[in-house]
Amino acid sequence: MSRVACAAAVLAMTGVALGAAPAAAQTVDGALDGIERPAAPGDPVRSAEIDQRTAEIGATLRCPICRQQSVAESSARIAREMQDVIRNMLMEGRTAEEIEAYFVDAYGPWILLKPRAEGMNLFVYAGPGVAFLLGGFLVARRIRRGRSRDEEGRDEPETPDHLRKADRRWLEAAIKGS
Amino acid sequence: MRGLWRWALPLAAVPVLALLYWGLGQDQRRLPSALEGREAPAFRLANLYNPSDSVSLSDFEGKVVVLNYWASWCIPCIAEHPVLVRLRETYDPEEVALIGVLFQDRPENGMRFIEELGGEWPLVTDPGSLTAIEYGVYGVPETYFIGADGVVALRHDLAVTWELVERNVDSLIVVRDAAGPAGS
Repeated sequence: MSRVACAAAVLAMTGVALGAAPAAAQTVDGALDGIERPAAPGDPVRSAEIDQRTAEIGATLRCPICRQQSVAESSARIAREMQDVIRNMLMEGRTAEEIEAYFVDAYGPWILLKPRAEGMNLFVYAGPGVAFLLGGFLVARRIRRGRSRDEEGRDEPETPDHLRKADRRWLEAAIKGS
Repeated sequence: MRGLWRWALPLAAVPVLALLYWGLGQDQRRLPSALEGREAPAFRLANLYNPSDSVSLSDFEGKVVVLNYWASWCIPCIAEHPVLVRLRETYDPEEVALIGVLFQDRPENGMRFIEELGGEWPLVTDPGSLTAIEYGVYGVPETYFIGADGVVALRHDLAVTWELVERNVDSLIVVRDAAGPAGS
């Protein structure tokens, strides 16, 4: 299914690559679905601001078709339609959090390129830190233990009592066998 | 104590390997649906053949609804179309509604598709894919099985088979009957 849509997106991209002007592509798209793209507000500063915020929010959302790309990066049609939705919601005065919640409601948390730090996701955030601390603790412990063993070895003469149990067993067996 | 530490590293690898095993066993093509178990988003969309006429989900209140997103350029949609025709022929439209939503396609292409392959059920267009996005559609075909209570029971993201349709529609009819007569 999504392969089919992806193929369509690739075909569309090929069309653009073969020389279709972007303006012409937009006209075709408009004719395709019969809707008008959201008109930019009259104030050019406000328009630029909305475009920038649309791109910023789009960069946090995963394209449902080209899944490794954000909605802002993807040229898939669904990604452009999602950008239109974002733009419309911004023009309605909705906040970035509300827009994010809208897409999470429809697609689930999967749609967020950066998972929320909650529930099982906490493992993703805390895991590396915990692993680093645990590893550091184990290494420090091993070094400290090695040092104290060295110090013990310097202070006292090395006798069979100071050997590890396994070494001692091996030594005793070797003596018996000889 | 030393023995415990000796086993700590291999033991720590166990959950990682278990997670890897679980992950490799998952079908990466299957995508999660946030809608299953939740109320289906309401919509009012223009009729494919008569844009001044509209079809609303609320028109089918109390019925089991099979909502199918499709397109004329979608090859799996051609493959699943006979199943949808059979669904329409098998179940009473008063009990089970089938709605087709044209996805990212020209209305004339959609009409030509239906002319060639047949099918008589409400067909609507979705300009800007607004409804598709609200349903969390990834691509086509995608089919939503909605219970008589308006809750999405299943989202299927490949071409439907008759076995899948029959199993899900029958179980939704059973649930509806168990809940009492429609509208009560």
